[in-house]
Amino acid sequence: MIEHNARRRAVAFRSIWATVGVVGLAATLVGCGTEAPESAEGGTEAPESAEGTTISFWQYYGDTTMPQGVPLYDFIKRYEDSHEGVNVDVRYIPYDDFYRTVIQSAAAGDAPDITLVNSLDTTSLAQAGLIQDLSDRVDEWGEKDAYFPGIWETTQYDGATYGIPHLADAYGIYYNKTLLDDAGLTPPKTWDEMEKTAAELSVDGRHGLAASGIEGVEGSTPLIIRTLAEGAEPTELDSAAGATALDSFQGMVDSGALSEGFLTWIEDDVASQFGTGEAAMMLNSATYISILREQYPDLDWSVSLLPEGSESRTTWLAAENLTISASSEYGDEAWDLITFMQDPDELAVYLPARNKLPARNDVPDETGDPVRATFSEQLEDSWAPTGDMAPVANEVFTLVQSALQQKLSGGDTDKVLKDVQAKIDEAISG
Amino acid sequence: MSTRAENRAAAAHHKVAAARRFPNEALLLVPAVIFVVATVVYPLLYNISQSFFDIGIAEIVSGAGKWVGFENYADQLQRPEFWAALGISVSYTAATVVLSVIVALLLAQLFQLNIPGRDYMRALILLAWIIPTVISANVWRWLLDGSYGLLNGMLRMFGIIDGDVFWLGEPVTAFIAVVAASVWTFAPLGMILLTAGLQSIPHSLYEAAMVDGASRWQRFLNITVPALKPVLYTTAFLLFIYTFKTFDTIFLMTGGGPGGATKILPVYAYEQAFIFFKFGKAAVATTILLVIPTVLSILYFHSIKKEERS
Amino acid sequence: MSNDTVTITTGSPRSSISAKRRVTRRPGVFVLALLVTLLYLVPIYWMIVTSFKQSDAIFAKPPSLLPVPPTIEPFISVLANENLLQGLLNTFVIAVGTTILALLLAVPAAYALARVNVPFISVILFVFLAVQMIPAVNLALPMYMLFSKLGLVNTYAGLIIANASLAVPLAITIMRPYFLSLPNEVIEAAKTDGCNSFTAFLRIALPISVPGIVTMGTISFMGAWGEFVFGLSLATDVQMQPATVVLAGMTSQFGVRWNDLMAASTIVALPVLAIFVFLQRYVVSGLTEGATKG
Repeated sequence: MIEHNARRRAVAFRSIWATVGVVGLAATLVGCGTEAPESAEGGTEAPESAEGTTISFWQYYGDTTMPQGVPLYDFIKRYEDSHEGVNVDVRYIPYDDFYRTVIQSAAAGDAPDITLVNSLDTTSLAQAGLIQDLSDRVDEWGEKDAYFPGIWETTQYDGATYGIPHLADAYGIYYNKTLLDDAGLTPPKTWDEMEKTAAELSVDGRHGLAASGIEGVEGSTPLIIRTLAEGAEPTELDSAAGATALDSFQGMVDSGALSEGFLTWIEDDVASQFGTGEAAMMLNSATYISILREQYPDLDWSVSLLPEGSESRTTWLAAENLTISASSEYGDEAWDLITFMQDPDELAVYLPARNKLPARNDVPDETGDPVRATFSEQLEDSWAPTGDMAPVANEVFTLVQSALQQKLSGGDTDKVLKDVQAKIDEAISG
Repeated sequence: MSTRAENRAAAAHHKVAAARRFPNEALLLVPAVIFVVATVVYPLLYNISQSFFDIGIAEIVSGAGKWVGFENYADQLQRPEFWAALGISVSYTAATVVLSVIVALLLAQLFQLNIPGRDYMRALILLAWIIPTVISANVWRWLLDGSYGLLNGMLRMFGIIDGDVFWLGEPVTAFIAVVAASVWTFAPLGMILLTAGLQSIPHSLYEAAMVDGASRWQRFLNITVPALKPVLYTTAFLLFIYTFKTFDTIFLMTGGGPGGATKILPVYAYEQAFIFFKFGKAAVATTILLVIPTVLSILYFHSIKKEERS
Repeated sequence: MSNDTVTITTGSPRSSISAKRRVTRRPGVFVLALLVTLLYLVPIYWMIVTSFKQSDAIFAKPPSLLPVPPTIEPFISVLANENLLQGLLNTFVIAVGTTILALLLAVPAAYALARVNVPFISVILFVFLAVQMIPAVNLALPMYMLFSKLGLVNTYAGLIIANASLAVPLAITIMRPYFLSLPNEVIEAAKTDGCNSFTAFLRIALPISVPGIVTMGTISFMGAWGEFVFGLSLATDVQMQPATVVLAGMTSQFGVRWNDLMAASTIVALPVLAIFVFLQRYVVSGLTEGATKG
């Protein structure tokens, strides 16, 4: 009797346990899924709240606690205040994770309505079909010609427009007036002068020039600028121009003008080297204007145009474009916000606060700041990847930096250039 | 025996036999197995299958990839960067494991002596392993900073170097730096494991050897090391598979640089997937990443099964 | 600590111990041990010291070993960062959830694996061992795709499940030796007294293995606290990210503000360090059980 019951109990136990197990697991999955805090998962299913529509806006500048972020939030707030019924949900994603997150979210069907994306990445997003063709809207809007041609190019793919330039940034040479005056030197106008001046300023443990040469896209800037100055684009690295550029950096490191550490520095590191007086000059973007003023108020500095190479003094164009996701259901509302953000008077307020330069030629400069004027002048001669290079820009620039790295690790100029050129060609064709 | 007792015995026998055929306890295993299959095995198989497709940004978004068979494998296996990454993975792991075991053994031996506060000291050293790698990677970066780091500050003070030395900027020193950071993290774990092993060696063996006039080094070599063999193997194996798959430390310290000098295979795979968006090719790297530890663990597993049976 | 430690059993039975421990009276050894310990802790010391330094002290050459003058400014500015606070909350929820889920799944499984002897078991044991070798990188993207279909991206549930996938196999291997050392007779006795397998497990086995459970829980918690890759891939919304990911993001955001970064690091590390200080003997015993017990 007892064992009969025991066996029955055993059977019952098995089935109950099995059921409990499966149900419990399922309940955990479903139940917990609804416990999450209200995190906006994307704008494509943005609800109609009591106040109207919500469009999502993703950017990598900063959040409300960061100086690079606040001006954008203020700008968007001005839009919301003057446009009842529209909420803009701004999300900040750090730069390193930005592109990956956008792709992942698109794959999950959670793409935002507006993505403020790097000009380098615009073409590849267009190629992948993730952003909308804005050509018709642009034609109707009619303000295309206000944009600097080089910048407008970055929004183009396959003959159509896929983004509207938001702002631009250029590189220049910041120089420490005190140090230069004490040495009786003036800011160099050519790269040959730069090499000499920087070497002369490299005394007492200080270096004449600082730049960001770190692994990856960010550190490719110096070599690209130097190569452009010799008249070649990064896709033509294996050339006389590329060789001159590469050897120039080797020379500067050898003479102590440029610290070897520059291969480990991000642009922030460069700014602190300059701010603390460890470097007499730095190659950096307009971003650091107010940062220097705030963090190193006693520093007496100014900015000069890029030195000329044998061909030009073109700057690398750092810019962002406003794009609308292909899957967005709020295209019209998004376009309205985007065009609002192109208004020259609005930009005249926003850009100085943001430390950036206009992408249009009709934005009045009300600041009277000579430093900003210099950058604006520099911006007129700028370069950004176009054509076949654009979709693989990330990879190409990473390869360019690797050329610099290899050369400075003791590589032979010709060999390094051939090597890297082969990889660049492959990236572009593959 | 009465009938009732007979029946009871028979039923009990039945029950035991039934239990052996299909024990109830085995059901306790089911939830965990389902869970692991769903959360690990399935993604793993999915990842392996990805290596046979051509998957770029557009395909990841649309969910449709083009079948390319072994093309991705052919492509990757022809690339020097791939082999470099594999080589660096192996050398980084080997160096870390060897050094960690040595350090661990030295620490374990040191703390075998009954010093006051020994347990506290061991626990403090174990902190190195407890601390999240995201944090220790940053701390090491700061310690090794070329201009303002503590290491250079000390070296300058003793006149060993002059000016700035950028440890993470040169390929060789960067490699050494990440190995050092990893050894710092793992040696304490090894220390704990080896301590347990050391404690199980009977003291009488040492006493007998001392009576025979054996030196400390001889005692170590002829008693300690052989007795520790199983634990040493376990420790080395453990540290190997743990180090081989490490991602955080190198990713945050050097990002795989400079010039790929520390680009272990996991970092290479990450770069292929999330920076160049070549998901199919990244999957090749991650799949091959599994081969070495799998082979090792089959070997290891066989050896412990053998020991368990004996 | 990463969440991916593997503990194995060597199978060699513990040899006789109880050796008479000789207390060392040599001060030299004590000093050596102390120095070694202090040297080993230099990185942690440096992290804490830097957190109390003023910004210009960071760029002092040579760097001073003590923060002079000390300031709590970095802590204030870091704690004002809502993202970090949110990150800590997220990490806490995830770690607790992971520990509970791992407990629910791993303890019964370890019990079963210790007591049942079927050919299957070898395969299952091997699988639980093997999955601990898989780098999170392999699983990150497929898990993301799988979770996004299930609506688990950017949810606590998703991150808990992902972390548990790392914790469960490890937990099983930690717990198994404890159940292996459970004498059969105790269970059999319970069964003849009317318990079925389940209640025997619940009422007899569990209470005896509380130390093992504490060990396993502690290790799972600490592992989940430090997890990075899944947090990075499965939480694309800053609001949902664990503290480790927020911290990594701060690295680029802070640029060269090492004092702020170290202060943030100290804050994130503190809970784990505190827990370890209190429960370290469980952690240590759990690891040693794994290494020496069959």
